[in-house]
Amino acid sequence: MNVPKYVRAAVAFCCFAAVVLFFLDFTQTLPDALHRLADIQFVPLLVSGSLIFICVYLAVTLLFGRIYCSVICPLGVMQDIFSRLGKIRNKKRSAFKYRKESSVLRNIFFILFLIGLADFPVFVTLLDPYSNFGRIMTAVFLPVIVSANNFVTEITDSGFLRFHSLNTALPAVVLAAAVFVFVAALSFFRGRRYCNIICPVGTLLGFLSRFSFFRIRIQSGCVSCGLCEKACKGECIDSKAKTVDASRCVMCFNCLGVCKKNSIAFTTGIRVHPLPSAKTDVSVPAPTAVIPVQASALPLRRTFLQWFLVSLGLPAIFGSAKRAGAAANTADAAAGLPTGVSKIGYKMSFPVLPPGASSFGRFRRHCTGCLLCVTKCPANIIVPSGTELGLAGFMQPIIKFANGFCNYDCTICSRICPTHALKGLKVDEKHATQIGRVVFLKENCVVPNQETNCGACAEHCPTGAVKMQPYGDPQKSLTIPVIDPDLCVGCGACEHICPVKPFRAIYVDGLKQHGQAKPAYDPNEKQKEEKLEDFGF
Amino acid sequence: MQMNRKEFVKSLMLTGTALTAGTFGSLEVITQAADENAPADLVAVMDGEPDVMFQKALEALGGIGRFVKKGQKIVIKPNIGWDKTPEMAADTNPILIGEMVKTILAAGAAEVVVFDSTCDLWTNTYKNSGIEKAVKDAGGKMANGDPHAEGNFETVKLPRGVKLKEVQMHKAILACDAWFNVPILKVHSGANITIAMKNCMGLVSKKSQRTFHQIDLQQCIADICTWEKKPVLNVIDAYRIMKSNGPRGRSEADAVLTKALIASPDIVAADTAAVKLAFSVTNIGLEKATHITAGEELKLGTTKLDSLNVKRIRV
Repeated sequence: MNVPKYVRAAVAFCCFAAVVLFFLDFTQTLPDALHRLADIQFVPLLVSGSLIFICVYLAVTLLFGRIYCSVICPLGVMQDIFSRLGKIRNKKRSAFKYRKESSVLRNIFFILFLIGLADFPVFVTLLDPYSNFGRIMTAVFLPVIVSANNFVTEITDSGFLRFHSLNTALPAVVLAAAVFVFVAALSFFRGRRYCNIICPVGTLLGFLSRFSFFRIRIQSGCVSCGLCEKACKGECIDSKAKTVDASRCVMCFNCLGVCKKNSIAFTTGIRVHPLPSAKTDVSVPAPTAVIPVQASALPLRRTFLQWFLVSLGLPAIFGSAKRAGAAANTADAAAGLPTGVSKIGYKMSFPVLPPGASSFGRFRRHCTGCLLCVTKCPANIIVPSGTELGLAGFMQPIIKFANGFCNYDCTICSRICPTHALKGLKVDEKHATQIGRVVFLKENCVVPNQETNCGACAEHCPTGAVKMQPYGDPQKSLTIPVIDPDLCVGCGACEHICPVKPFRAIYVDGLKQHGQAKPAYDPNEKQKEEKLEDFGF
Repeated sequence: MQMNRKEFVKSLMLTGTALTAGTFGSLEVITQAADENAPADLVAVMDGEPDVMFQKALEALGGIGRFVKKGQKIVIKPNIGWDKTPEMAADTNPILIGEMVKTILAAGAAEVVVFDSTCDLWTNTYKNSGIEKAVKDAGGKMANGDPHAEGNFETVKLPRGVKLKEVQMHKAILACDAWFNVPILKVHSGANITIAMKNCMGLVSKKSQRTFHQIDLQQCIADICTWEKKPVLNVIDAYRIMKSNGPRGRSEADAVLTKALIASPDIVAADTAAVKLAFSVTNIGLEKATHITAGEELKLGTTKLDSLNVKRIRV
């Protein structure tokens, strides 16, 4: 029995299932602690500067090869599923065969990734396998599952199921669907080709796995039958030359079980007596029996040098790319009511960044657009950006208040962010954080325009940044909003609930640098007991 | 129906008074005697815990059997709008709701469903208000309170509404046989005060709620109360009253502990009594709560408490 393969598949399945369920858990019932599985993804660790974990991964790769790619990486495991499906569907055609390494393409993508790391986040966003997987879950599968749930709820009318709101943004859906179709199709026909050409993590770990201590090796006794080559998802076994390109081997161990001669093994290069051939030919002590993996040192060193130079030089060119700061907030279309129509439009000086982002400069360097915050936001207000944060910030999340507002005591997005683009906030820290500032447009407000009561904004304001004060004729007991932006936390409750259209009379303008909100109340003030003198009537 | 019955009783009483005035000599004696035996139209209770005050009120109103028939599906509609603890007095007291669920189930109701179309995230408000636990412990059910989920609502017409002609009504309230309106008494930045009539705004979707604010909040509150399916009883939680920064409140200091409760099948009378009861802490009179007077104009009830059989109880 091919034990290594089954162990690999079992562990990979558990990790994969947990990440998938965590992303698709629209009922928010799974424990938040599952975000640890997102935390341990390679690129999030890299951008958040968790050097210890990175070193652990590098060490593991140097010892055992690209275990990460086969076990931890959800996009990798997803590809294994599709390549398995491809194999089931057509046994003959989808048999793999050795291909040469596409080193030029591989290096180009890796260079783009380095540029991204330096100062052009969109390249990291588009290349990171975990973030791509996150977007596929959030923007493709989640809407499908939520719609199915709502449909079943509608037709069964059961008390068990309930309706859930959808939160979709077109750019994210298009991108994620395209990536999904591309990666799924590629793996269906060609196994782990994506990982060995496009994926920067695969390239980086592949660079190390060339030198890994344990790896797949073809030993003496090989008759070049090609069975292992046909089983190799990485298409990195050349059975004719009897070589394994360890830089592309993802340690799936599928080859181990198929060899009829027991000539392929996961082993060190030091071992002098090849396991199977020892039986037949004990007398030959054979360091020569181990065929060295094809690895030419010179071009390798050269390409590494190239990467290094490029990573120093190119960001300076791209770094100067400026982002468009302003983003017009087009409110949803008018409901066609004669009353409550606003006149004055507004231009936001900056989009609202989620709590914990602290500053745009920091946020943009860390966020890889995995959209975990988008799926986990219970209010459905975090959305992946299109061009609001500039081209370099594509897919990085921003807040829009069309679906709801940021719940005062909720801190989940900041706590589950795997890249620490959103720094974990405690509830009291969040209460003191200002993610935006309130702006009031009296010209749009219901109260002066219609002389009717409203006060929806002040009703929803958690801090008193929006209050009502008497307005006009005292006989009508009207009140109008008055704002104190220093108290505002930028939760957007006022903007969300404001009834006028198409432009609200009150809105939250984002901040490039999150500020400090004044304390909303004195925590030492306690409740009084007030005995009512009489019934009053 | 309610008014007709009341007027009928009143006219009977008056006839009786006229006929027996000579015999008993005093009108006061007669009305007093009638009050003690007849079920009250409105009860105000003070100085007790929420569950105790509810039972006292129910007793004075003639018992639960007056409102609940065996096998009925009952809805209780509290105010669960905000993600706040009971001490903050932003949501109806969970002890009161739990006691009501228990009492209604004991009276033979088939089921008791509780919901609100919330402002803060509904799962959080259900949990942190303590109401979800109180209801489930008492054997009741919570219905989905997501105000944005279109599937929760169905459009109904309001033919008697002045400005509000239709709303998206929660399916739970459409499916029930009878419902109890159980608000908490708070000052309100929009409507000036929120009690029983304002609590009916929580029957509808967020989209409809926005329409209220859009066209004329005070009138729309009165209009929603014209819906044909009226609450069988309004129970006003005034155990704590939010006196400032309502309806949400910022700290515990925004509420005062007043230990009171008002109950009446007449929604306008219940609100009128509550406004008067709370005046010393809220400083808001009927002239500011114009949705209540608009309700009287729509013949939803009376603000003239003297015309009713009112009972005042101190525990």
